[in-house]
Amino acid sequence: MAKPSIGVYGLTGCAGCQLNIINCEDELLDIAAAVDIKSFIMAQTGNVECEIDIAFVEGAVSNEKQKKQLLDIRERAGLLVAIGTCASWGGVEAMINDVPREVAKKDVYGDTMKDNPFYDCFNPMPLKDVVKVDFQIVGCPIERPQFIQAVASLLNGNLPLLPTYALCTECKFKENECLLIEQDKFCLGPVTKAGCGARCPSNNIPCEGCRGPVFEANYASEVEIMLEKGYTKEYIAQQMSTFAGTISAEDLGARKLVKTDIP
Amino acid sequence: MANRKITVDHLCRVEGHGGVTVELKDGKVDKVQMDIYEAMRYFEHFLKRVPYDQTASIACRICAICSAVHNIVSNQATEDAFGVKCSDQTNLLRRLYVAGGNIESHALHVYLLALPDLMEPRYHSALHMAQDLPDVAKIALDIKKCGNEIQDIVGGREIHACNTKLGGFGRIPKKDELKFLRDRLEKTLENAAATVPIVKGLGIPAYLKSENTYVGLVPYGDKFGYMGDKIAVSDGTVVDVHDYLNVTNEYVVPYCHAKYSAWKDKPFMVGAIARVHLFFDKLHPTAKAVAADIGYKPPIHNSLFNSVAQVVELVDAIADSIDVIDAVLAEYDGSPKDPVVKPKAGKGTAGIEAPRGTLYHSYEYDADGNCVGADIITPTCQNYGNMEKDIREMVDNNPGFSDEDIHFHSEIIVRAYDPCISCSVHVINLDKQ
Repeated sequence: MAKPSIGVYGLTGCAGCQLNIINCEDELLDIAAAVDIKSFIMAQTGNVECEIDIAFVEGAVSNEKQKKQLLDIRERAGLLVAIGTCASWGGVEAMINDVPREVAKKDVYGDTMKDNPFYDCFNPMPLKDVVKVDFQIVGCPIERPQFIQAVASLLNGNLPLLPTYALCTECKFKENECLLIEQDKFCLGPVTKAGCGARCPSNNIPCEGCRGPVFEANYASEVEIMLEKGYTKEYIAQQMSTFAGTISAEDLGARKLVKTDIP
Repeated sequence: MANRKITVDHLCRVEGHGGVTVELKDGKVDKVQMDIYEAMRYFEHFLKRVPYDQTASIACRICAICSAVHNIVSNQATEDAFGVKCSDQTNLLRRLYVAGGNIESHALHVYLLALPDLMEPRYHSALHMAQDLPDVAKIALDIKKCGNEIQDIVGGREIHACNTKLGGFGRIPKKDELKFLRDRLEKTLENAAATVPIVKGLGIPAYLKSENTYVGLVPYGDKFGYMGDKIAVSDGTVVDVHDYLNVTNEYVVPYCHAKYSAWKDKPFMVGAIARVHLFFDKLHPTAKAVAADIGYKPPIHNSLFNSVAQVVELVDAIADSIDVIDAVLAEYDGSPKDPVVKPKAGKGTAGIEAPRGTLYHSYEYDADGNCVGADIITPTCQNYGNMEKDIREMVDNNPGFSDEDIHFHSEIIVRAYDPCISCSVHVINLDKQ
């Protein structure tokens, strides 16, 4: 049987999720032996854009060229896996999605680049807003063990099982002192998807929500606690949209988290 | 002679999305330009929204490969603005963390990205090379892994640190973690030495002959290193880091949304080759011995030797990290020793040497600590002008080159600079005069 073919692609982002694939130092040679890497521009030359079994796509979609590229990848790929928070939720670049890109462009470049097609881009979108995404591995960047687990599951014909609960759970397992309740720090652990082993709180640094939202969370309660602790609603809204500015009511099965929604 | 146009559509084995176009008229180079395909992310907008104590953690998302240095220099720029002084322990651990990033990045670039082209036969990637030379690939990956282990233990994560903060660290690594890293570094030093014969045998082309102008931060103290507050130019000029704009002299080109830099109207080069050129005497004795073994002795003006300079730096970073760990352990204190961080109105600037060259962060804050202005200048931006100079020279000095040759050599020249294209377009420039 032929080895499954894969492609690794990057749209708008920092290349950190692709780098974390290359960072699988102990497993990389085994992965490369188990699959046929048709395209991985960051890691190899001689890339071929053909039909592939699995596409791993990093980054948000933020211009027409990327939209076309993503549609093309979807067309060629059996399974499409979004890797990282940008591909899943838009990432930090979507933090300003409440402002049209034109405003941002003018603020940065003035009118000098108005007619330059290089600068044409729209508000960054997660992949799922453009194509069907079969699976998401979240994280800023993705955790290496989860990538390896996902590859192993997919090679065996299964969809991977990754945590669907809140990061708070992992933090409790570690018996860390609660930064939110005990130290009044702004910690997003209760509403962020688990899987990193509560890295930041384990270092006495509050969770910034870089893994994106978790579905089964009590957002209203988190907001209430934050307001009680004296954080303003603007601050709460800003923090909650730092990594997931594209979050929607449907995504959460809860009400939309925009500034005006917070009491 | 016919006019020719050679386009490298998508540079492979570099970070980010970019290409190169070379145009020849009557056999002579008419135009060389870098094509950058990265979409804008407008970091300048989000930094205005981000609280000052998270600026570094968001700014480091500009780029994964340079994440460690973006994080530290961002914190240092804010500390400069607020007048925060860090403890000796913090400064040592930052030195170790930055070295970890450098070890990882240099190992990645030299062995995995640059090497496959310079071997005989050539390979599409390190993974293809591994089929013929599994031991080389394993050693290279293990060196790289050691850099990640340092970043993971000291910085909290291999990419995008979650243990760093204004004034220092959230958690000080335990003694046994530092001892583990020390053992790993000893092993990594042996591994790096084992790659010397390969580095010696690389077929590095010799067609780049013009003199480069080199720029780099003067390392603090007597040792080679990546932090300092003075900028040195190879013509002897020294400039305070707060006056970095007098060195970078940025200008805009119509075909690329990264800004270019020039020193006295000419391109200059930053990165490993520049640092080793400027501060060779400060290198760790172990690194000097490796340089002598390879036959690397500045002045060297062939930019393609940047990858070899990275090997010398790699050895320096490993050997120095062992010394740093010994220094931390000698006066070990498990508490973070946080200085008081209180926002105040004003401007702060810091520079750091990223694996690929000098990186500057500069912020302006209001009295409440809201970011009202930011400027970030990345090394790859500073190098674009010199890359174009080198590609021009490659074509001029090789009149017999076919389109395919020019394509191939343009790619290895750009790759030798270890460019970080994500960084280069996410230039932040908020200062409105």
